[in-house]
Amino acid sequence: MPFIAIAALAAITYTFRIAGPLLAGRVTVPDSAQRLFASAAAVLLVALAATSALTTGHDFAGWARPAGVLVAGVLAARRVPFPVVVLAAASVTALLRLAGIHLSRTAGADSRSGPPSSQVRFARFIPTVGRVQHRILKSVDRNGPQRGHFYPLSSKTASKPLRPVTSGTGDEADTRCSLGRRIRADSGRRPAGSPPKSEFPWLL
Amino acid sequence: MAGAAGTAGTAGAAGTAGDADRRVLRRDVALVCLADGIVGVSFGATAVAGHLHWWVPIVMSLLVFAGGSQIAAVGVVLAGGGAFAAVAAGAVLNTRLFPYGLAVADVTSASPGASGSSGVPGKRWWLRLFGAQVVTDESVAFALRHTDPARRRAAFWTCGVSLFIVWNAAVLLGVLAGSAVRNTAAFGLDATFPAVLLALALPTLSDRRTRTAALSGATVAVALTPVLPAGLPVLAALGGLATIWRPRRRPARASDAETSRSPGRRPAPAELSAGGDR
Repeated sequence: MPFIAIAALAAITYTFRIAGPLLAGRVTVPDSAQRLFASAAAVLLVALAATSALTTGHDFAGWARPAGVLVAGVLAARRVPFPVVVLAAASVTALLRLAGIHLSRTAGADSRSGPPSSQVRFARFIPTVGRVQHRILKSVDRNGPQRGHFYPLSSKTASKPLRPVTSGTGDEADTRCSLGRRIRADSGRRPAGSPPKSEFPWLL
Repeated sequence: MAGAAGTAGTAGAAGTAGDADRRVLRRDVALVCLADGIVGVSFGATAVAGHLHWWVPIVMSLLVFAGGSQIAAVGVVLAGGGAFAAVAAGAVLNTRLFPYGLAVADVTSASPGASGSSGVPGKRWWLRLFGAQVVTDESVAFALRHTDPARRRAAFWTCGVSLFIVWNAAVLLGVLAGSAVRNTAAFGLDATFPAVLLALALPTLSDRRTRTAALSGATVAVALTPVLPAGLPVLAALGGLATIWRPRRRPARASDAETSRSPGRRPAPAELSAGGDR
């Protein structure tokens, strides 16, 4: 994160802060505007909570984290003190990971040796999105990669895959569509003897 | 935190019990600081473990000093989003500081030690500037619990200054811890960001229309995450606000909106802050 971005956010924030004392007595914020501020903040907070709980990069983050967040949410709704809420989120997630519920839904040895494709898991998780994605992926497989770059991933992500992929496949599809690559990388190309490292270290 | 706010609200009944009053204030501020400290440690550790430079969370905490937006901005960046999306998300979250500032304008200008009921506003410009910097959910909530100007000022400044110190120290501690511990995932630290954000949002979600907007926005954001560049889904969630603004031309609609508003409360600053900001 560049310093200029931090400085910009700080300047904007301070403007909001100092504007109140400076303008006090001269302006009043209409109720509707105040409601809109509050609602916008709530929408952003919930959206951020949801995306950072469920996803890592473009993929599903695994079950441990959302489970921890869910527990924290229930506790917070019950007015449990804030420190407890935060610690509960961390410890539930940590315990689930310790128990092996790492990234995948299929528990057991599988979760240690490498989860199934995160895209597939994501597809299971949100059926509608999943169906669309499966359809797209199918069409890619059938028609070949020449159909092109239809999946709007950012170039940054495309050039830096989130998961370790067996290199040297030389497949055009690998460079064109990282979704296809992920699916394929998971479907049997991985050398049997080398389980992939635990990807998604833990990034939000 | 909400519990702390509730217990102390009843405590300051008599004006004569200044000592007990101060003790209650200190205890409550300490509780809030403890909560925010934990979040601050996790913020610093998370940012560093996400391969941000060590100075980023530290400088950010000093200059921005608004936990929710700091976590939001860093969350967007860690998810791969651009600087613009990060700043935009943080800025939208901080718009609430403007009405907060209006609400506590009378106490931000004078220090707690200033004798007299009205203080010395404007005498020390740097105190004024710093007073604005420590306008947070928590300090405003503490100030708004009292009507007596001196107590308001004491509450605001005690909470604001303590939080400023504790928050920055905690973030520093988190940066150190995050640099030392390699496998932060094992501690489940990544779950603390969304948990904090959720806890911050919960008090406002009792309003039905806000809840609808927030849930639809979150659904949109999660659904768009696989396909949009990082950072944009969260901003797209603001489209959920569209569910709030309904055309009220038809009388049926108008009465519907009226009834839906009456049980829902307008989130006052104090309510917004019930979950704490950091």
